[in-house]
Amino acid sequence: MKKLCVLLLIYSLLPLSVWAEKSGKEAYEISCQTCHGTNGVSGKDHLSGPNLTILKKEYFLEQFKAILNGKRKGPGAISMLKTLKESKLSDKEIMAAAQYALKLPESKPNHKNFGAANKGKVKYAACIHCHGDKAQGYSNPGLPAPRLAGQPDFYIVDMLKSFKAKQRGNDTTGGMQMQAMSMITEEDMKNIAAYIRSLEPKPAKKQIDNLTYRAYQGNWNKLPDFSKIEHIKDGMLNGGIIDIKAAELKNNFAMIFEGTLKIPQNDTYTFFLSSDDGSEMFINGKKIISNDGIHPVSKVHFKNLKLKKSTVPIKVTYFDGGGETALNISWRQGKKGKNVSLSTTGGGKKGSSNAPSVLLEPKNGEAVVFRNFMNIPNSRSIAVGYPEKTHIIYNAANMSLASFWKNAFVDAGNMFHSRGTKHIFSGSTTVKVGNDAQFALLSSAESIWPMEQNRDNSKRRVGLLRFKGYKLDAKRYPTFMYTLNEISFEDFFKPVDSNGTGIIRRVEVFTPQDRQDLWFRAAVGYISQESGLFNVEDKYKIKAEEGKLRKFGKIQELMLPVKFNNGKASIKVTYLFNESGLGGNK
Amino acid sequence: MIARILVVLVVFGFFPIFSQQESDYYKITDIPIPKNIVFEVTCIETLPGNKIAAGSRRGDIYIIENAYDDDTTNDTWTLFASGIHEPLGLSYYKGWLWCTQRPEVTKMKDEDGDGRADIFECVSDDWGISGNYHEYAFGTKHDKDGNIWIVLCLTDSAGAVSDFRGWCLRVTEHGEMIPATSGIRSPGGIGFNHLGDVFYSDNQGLWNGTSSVKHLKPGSFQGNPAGNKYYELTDAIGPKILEPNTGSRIILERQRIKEFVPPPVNLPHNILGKSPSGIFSDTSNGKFGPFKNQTFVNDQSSSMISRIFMEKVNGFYQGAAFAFRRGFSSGNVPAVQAENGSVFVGGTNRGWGSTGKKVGALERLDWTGKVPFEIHKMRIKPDGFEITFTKKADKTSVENLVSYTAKANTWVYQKGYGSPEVDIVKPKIESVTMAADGMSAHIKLDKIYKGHTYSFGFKGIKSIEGKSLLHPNAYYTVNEVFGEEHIFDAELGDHARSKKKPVKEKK
Repeated sequence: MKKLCVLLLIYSLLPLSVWAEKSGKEAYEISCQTCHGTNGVSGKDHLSGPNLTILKKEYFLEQFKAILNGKRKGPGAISMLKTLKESKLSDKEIMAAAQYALKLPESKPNHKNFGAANKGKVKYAACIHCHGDKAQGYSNPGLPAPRLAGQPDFYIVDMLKSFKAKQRGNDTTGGMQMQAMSMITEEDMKNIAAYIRSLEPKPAKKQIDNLTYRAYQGNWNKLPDFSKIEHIKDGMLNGGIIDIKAAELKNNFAMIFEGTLKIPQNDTYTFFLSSDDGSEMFINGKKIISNDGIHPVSKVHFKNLKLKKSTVPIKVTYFDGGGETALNISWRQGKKGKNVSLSTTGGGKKGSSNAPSVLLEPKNGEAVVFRNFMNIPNSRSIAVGYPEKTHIIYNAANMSLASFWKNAFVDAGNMFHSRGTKHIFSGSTTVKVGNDAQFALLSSAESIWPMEQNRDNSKRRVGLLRFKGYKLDAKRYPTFMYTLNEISFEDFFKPVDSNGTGIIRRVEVFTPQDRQDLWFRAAVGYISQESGLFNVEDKYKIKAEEGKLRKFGKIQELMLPVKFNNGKASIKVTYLFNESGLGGNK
Repeated sequence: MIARILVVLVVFGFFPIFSQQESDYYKITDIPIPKNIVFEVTCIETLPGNKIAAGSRRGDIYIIENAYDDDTTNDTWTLFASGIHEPLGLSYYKGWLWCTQRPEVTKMKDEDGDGRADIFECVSDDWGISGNYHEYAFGTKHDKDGNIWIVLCLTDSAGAVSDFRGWCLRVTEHGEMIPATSGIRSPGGIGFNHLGDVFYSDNQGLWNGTSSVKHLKPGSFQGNPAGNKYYELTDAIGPKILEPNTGSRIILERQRIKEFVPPPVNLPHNILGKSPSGIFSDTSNGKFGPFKNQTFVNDQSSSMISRIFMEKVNGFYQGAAFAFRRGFSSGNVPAVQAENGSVFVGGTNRGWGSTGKKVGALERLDWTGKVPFEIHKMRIKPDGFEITFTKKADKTSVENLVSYTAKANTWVYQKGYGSPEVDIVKPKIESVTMAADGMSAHIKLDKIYKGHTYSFGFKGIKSIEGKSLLHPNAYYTVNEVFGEEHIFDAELGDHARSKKKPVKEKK
């Protein structure tokens, strides 16, 4: 049905869009091209309008409207309005021209190359809050400001003049903010434009010849033995820049990059490598850097090599075990050479945008509780790191075991860096269990599990399931406390052992009056029963003696009745890592 | 050349500072953070037995002993709790340490006596959080009725995507959450005045032309309508209010929106800081110097404290702000006064830069016992202002009009970010008359614009000892007047009509 709708939509839009595009191009050629050029960047004198190809749609249309309504009174805006009026194009055609311009691919501007960037940098400090430190725009959510890097320098100056002369922006919020710039001189303006020019993103130069890649899929916690696995995708990277995006996989993949590097003269060369997760680098068939294992990108590895003028083979291997991905490679000639990037995601140098890691670990045989934004969207998550090195995230909105993993606990770097805008992710061995409430009162054993009982974190609490906090025992292992009506719960976790086997959960339940309608749902999904264990989608296993599967559509729910005796009941389940799922080599 | 500049600086710039400086009157003492921890201070509370508790953005709460003395080597720091989600409020109450953290109010206690909390009870987690970093929750100590007051920052400081963003809530000691006001944007701190009324600081931005200190009168609207949709969730403060018009003035929108409580004190942007944060009032009865019962507000970016004198006129708080003490070593966030009058100040400069460059700092501010020559209080009168001094003033300098500069302005009240100063007028000082005791003076103006903030410079005023005022500028926000009402008319400029009628409702 959905497919049908999409098809209908495509067919119904097709004639219209074809017509609009054609007409848009024609209208653009008639009315816009003289000043904005065929590519949306510059006209025949190379020195006229702004670079249209880097503007966001909303901003583009907002400004387009402001010019058509005569609100912008700068010389460029006035001449544009005049040209459009004289073009005799209909409103519809003018809009089509705008739509055409919006679709033009990003292009580089022409500059007049005036001003001193170093002087402009000081003045640009006033712009950073909204336009961003790289002039990338939109860095203040309260006050959207356009990208500036990529605009011609003369256009920046023209617009600063325009703001100063109150020819634009008198009635908009952003424009009001630009009044702060009305104190500056024309020389300042040129310097600012020069600085913005210097921030223009430079396309990476081709570095590696005959660069090929192969991509593999699987779950690993170190680099796989590539000779034993089959790749799922391969190809050439003609740009000569290593790019893990070529795999087109978000997580749990590995890659090999191979090509040749031209060594311009006999000298010492330094190679830099950092990645999330593991990687290795080979020059001339020899491994020069090993950076294997699961880790964030923080540590930059390097190796100095004496090389003769020649062409040498370069090979890089990489894998991601979940969470964030990055592969940064660069090289440098001699001690004072420029660091040149060989990969898309930065040069592997210090001060990259990646937050330095802040590793939290359980210490002195005690557990550690860490509340934060973990694994979107668990905004009320409580991570617990156990000294046995199996860890959990507890969802304090729905009192569920959200996930469990092993080895390293948490890298809080994202949160402890700058304003802490990014969430924290648990390690690549993370097994996701669920965020639905796990206890519910059912009128019968067949009643549908009440999903409406779940709390949406962004909503106020209205349900009766209420988080009451946690208490720590002598080893600081937490017991989570919560209530459902007059029933109260004490929810305790403990790793099975120190070998990364899994985690035991024991919930003590108390009620003033014994009842039979309380159920615990340990898991939901494709669950099968094998040798006394419940296999949940090949992701993990559950040991639950009282557990029974019940059908829920095509999937199963693993249900445990809560059997009270004198007001007390106890639920015990063990969540086990599914080792076969972690080995890869399928 | 450089030498010459230095000489000029010394003669004209530094010399007056040498003669009189803030540290002569108020001394900052560092409470050194142990070297092995990163501590970005976001909340402080005083505890019995001369201890204090301090919490950091990273979620640690330490209990610190010997922080009241001048010996910086005998302090002991004990980790009381960790893993708290960005705590922004602490209160010691009924034997528990209560903490406002992002998702909830928690009370904690050390039951086994090992110095570390082992029970963490969730008191209330009834408000929403989306996972956006800007959704901060600042909480007070308990008020006299046992409530913690909480202000919830907007999502990204601009919108409201989780329940009660942009609201002030009260949480009772039994965990009931009661909405108190709407209209919050981006708070930096919350605290009480000496009467127990609640104030918070809100930062320049959407619907905030400049930063200000606002009065959280239950049932009020504080100015930013982003969270107005949550009137649907509660009838605690009545039906949904009218939406404000953008591009207007607070004084005009107040006439339409009766729940609108205007900021008692505007803090001119970049003049008195630009990121107001923690609030405390001097209730030490003289132990903190001459400013008994006055209110103080921290500033994160300028690492400073401003002083605020407020009075009630026609039922609304309003008053004057003065610079008070600069030179803290990180970006000030919390400030808490202890019983002995000492004020503990904490700071962080991560993510939002500050004049004080330390990553985090915990400092104590004490009165040295010397009284600075300052404007003590500033009150509005039907025909001008009355200023009082902390020390006897020199009659000639006080009554000489050359001693004064005056400007008044307001800000555009708009959905956009901040505002320039607008509707600027130059008030005419007609006369200044000093009282017989030399402790106060009456400044008579040609007229007072309701809704304007009056910036006075008192550079020429001298004490009888010949000293200048330590802080010669005052910024008084006029929300209400005693006499004839003048409201600035943008069309007429500085020739406004008197007793302007309320603007008709815009459709």
